[in-house]
Amino acid sequence: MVFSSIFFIFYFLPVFMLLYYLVPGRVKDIVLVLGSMVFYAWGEPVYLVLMLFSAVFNYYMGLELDRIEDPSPRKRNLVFTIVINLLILGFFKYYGFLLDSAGSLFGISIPHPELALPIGISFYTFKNLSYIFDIYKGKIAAQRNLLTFGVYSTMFPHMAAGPIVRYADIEEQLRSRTVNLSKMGIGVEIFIKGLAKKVILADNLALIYNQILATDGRISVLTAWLGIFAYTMQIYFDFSGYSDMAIGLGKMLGFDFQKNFDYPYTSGSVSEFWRRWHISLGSWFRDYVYIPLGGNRAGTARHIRNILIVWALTGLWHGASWNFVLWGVYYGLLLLLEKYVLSRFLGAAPALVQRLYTFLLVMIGWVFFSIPSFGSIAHYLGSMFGVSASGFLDRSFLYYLRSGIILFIISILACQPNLQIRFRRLMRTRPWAAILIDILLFVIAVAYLVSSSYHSFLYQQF
Amino acid sequence: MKERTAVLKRSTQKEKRTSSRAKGSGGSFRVTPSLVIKILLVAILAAYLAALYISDYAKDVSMDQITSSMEASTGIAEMQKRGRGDLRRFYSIEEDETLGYLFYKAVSPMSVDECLIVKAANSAGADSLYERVNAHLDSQKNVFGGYGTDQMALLGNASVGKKGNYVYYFCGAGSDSVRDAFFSLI
Amino acid sequence: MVKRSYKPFFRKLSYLFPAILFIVLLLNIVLPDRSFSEKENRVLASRPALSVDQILSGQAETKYETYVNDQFVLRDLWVTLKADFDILLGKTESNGVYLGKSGYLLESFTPPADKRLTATLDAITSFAQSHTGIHQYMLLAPNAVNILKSHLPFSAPQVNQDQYIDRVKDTVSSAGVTFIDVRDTLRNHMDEQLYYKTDHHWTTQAAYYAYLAASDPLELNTAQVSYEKLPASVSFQGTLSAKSGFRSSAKDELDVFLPKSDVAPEFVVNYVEERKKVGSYYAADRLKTRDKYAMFFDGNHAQIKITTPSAEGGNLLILKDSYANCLIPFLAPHYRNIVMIDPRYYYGNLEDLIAAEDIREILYIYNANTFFADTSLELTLVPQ
Repeated sequence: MVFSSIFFIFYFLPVFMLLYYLVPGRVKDIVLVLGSMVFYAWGEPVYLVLMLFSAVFNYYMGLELDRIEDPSPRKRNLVFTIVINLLILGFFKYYGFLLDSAGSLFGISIPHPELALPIGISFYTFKNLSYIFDIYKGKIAAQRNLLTFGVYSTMFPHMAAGPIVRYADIEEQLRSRTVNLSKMGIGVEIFIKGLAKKVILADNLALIYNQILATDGRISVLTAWLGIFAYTMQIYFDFSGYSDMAIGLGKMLGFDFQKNFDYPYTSGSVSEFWRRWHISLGSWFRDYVYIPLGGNRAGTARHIRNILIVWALTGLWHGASWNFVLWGVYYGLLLLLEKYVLSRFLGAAPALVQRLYTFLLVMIGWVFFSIPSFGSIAHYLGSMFGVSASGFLDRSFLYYLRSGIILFIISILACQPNLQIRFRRLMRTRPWAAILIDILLFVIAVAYLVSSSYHSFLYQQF
Repeated sequence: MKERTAVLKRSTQKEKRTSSRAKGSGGSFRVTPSLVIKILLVAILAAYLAALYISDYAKDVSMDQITSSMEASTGIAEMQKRGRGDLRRFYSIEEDETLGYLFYKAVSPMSVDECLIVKAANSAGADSLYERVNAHLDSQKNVFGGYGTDQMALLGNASVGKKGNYVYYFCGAGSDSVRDAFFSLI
Repeated sequence: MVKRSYKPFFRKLSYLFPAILFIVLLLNIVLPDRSFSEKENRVLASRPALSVDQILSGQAETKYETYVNDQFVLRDLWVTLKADFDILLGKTESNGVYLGKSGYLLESFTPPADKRLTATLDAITSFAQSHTGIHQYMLLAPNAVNILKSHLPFSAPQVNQDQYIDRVKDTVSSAGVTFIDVRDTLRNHMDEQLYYKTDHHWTTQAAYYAYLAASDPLELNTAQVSYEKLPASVSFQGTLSAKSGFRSSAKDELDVFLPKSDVAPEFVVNYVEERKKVGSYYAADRLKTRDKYAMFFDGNHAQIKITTPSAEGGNLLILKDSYANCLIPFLAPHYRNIVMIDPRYYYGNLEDLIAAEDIREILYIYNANTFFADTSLELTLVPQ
């Protein structure tokens, strides 16, 4: 099931919430786990087994790691847990990719069945691994209650598309949390904003980019930039919208998740961008890969190696395809460049220049991200920089600009904090006006959902 | 011997609960409950993955068998049985690309009721057949789009897919039950 | 500014939102399902039958979601709201349809793959060469996107349809097929309504001009009959508004041209597959449905035969799409027998038909968009 669907909003959500609010104390946990199982099984029931296996397996291995004191068997158990978790992820996500890559290396084609990717597998695998790592490092104690761990591991708000919530962050809330109406109100507000970002902005921006991408033959320089700008905005509203919906739903259930996006397009450098974009993933790789590898403490050469490993993996996490690796390595190189060369100049530049610099590099990055084949990537970049473009400006640019200009303006406003700050002021001074705006956004989003047979979420493939 | 002392040493440091269970995982190959549980978990996972992997394959049933069984158990015989000329015409599929086929189509050209099962020799062949079967669905939608609303509804519910080396196209009011009948055979 | 808290806002929202969800849920359960949406011109999904197999494969869930979407309370209103908001956002294209000026919806032209077009043209050429005894003509009607280019939204990217029509014209002409070019005629009458604003067809008026343009090469005596234009419906909502969602409440006038004559002409229209004979080109009961254009020859049929008492012409075979349906009533009085074949639905043998009906002339009538997307004409002309 996806959040941005009529079935979820008008059937699943009211029925589930009613049950959840009616039952007392710990029974809520049972309702939540059962509800999450329905949510997860809906559409792909066979993979429910996998998701539950992952939960039970990591629950048990958590207990084991907690119990065993000896360093060497402890380490062996850790490796065993990591291997099984990555094996599951690899089997579904990277197996075809590895076979195809190996095949093309040796010039043969290896036939293999195509299994659908289980929803959220990358997210729940990483979530469960963070739990295991934290136990291993002694940061947390293992959860002895299977039901409580089940709530953490299977909870539907962050199941399908993140954020990758850490056990340590919500340990307290798993034990006891406040579920009340005013928290529900906060959750509703965040949920509606997320839904509107996804359905009204992201899906409509996607239409523009897809049209430009589907153009036969050459496009002009400006059209190419317009297209990737639309995608830049689309992916932000899509992904952050989905995170917002997850955080909002979490609030309705009494959980406080940390924010996953912090206005990344206002960043003044690429490294700042990655502290604001998909925060839960960036910090995951930092804590569980980069730092264990030695981070930047073991000399420049090791640092460069570590950065490149981490970013190639970050890229690969987003999808089993070489363009994602390229995208990751692109960021790895940019971060190194920034650290060792650019930081001196960048610090001295005016804020506007810093932001423009970051935004342009991020836009170029999305070209690698959004186009699977290297040839097409080169062609699109060629169009952006005039090499394979049909010209600088053409009629189709004016057409796309005209049909997208309102969306673009809204997008630019909505990806900066100002709009939200104003809205928060309105919430205090004129609550009814703010409610009216929220309801209006909700109604428009619902109109889109009803009209389309529902859009599937862009990030679900990851 | 060495093992035992190690355990002993630890049990003095640790509370009772841990020491009694930690025996096995201390690096020995002795069978302990925790080892059994781990092996069991891995076995469950392996069985599950294997089952999933196999589920994409289909039993190797001859087209003759499928044909006779489908004709008897489903309502497809109400349509008209079609031959290789029609297979070429509607699907651009040559008979000798297949290991046999079952093709029924409604008599009236204005009806979209259809049932096709083709068996390919290998998975690459199945992929190629699957592509053309999908192309047929697209072209049907193109022909009836904006004009035949009932036909469009049926085409929207058509069940088209690939299982093992079999490729199928079922369209019509009973397409789901035809597919279920087919799936129960392979 | 007075310092106020967020509490009233969140409080109100926390009552309002669940209330909305529950009210809608109840309405959805209570209100009856609809089977057809006039607005969208499609059959709405009905409650799927559930089986264990289907649930396990996930198909039941997908179907159920579609069902829930299709049967959502006040669906038409939501669809309208979405379309209006799209326009507010500045969208001028939807599902291959442009929202043009003066209320015109224009279907965009997709250039054919070269291989596809060549295959069709080769088939027409080889058919012409193997039937040199039969006069062959082709009328390829341009679409609104071509004639009404000036009505497209500001700088909409469009491929020029004319260059493809020219290619067809050159190829078939050199194969001995007389190409009847109606483009100039239609452009001369651009200020009249040649295309429906909400539908992809041309109007009867445009068909009439095309008939006049065709009368010369076909050697028809147009002075024989004069026509008067009568509105058959003023509430025609075409396929383009359904396809795009734009202008979903706009209505077109649909006209018929009736001969000004005291004596009703006697002719028989024979729907061959359906085994039905009627004495009219028009199916008036179709005016009660959404697809009012289907009043011409009751919509699309594989094969229709028209027999008239005409002494003038011979036996004509028309290979056609739906654009021909409103044109053929003008042609019918000039021929003794007309056989209309729609290759998209016709699976018979054309050679046998030509021999059996003693066909002397063949006329292709297509609109460019359909012709360039067509795959069936080739198969009918040159059975493999």
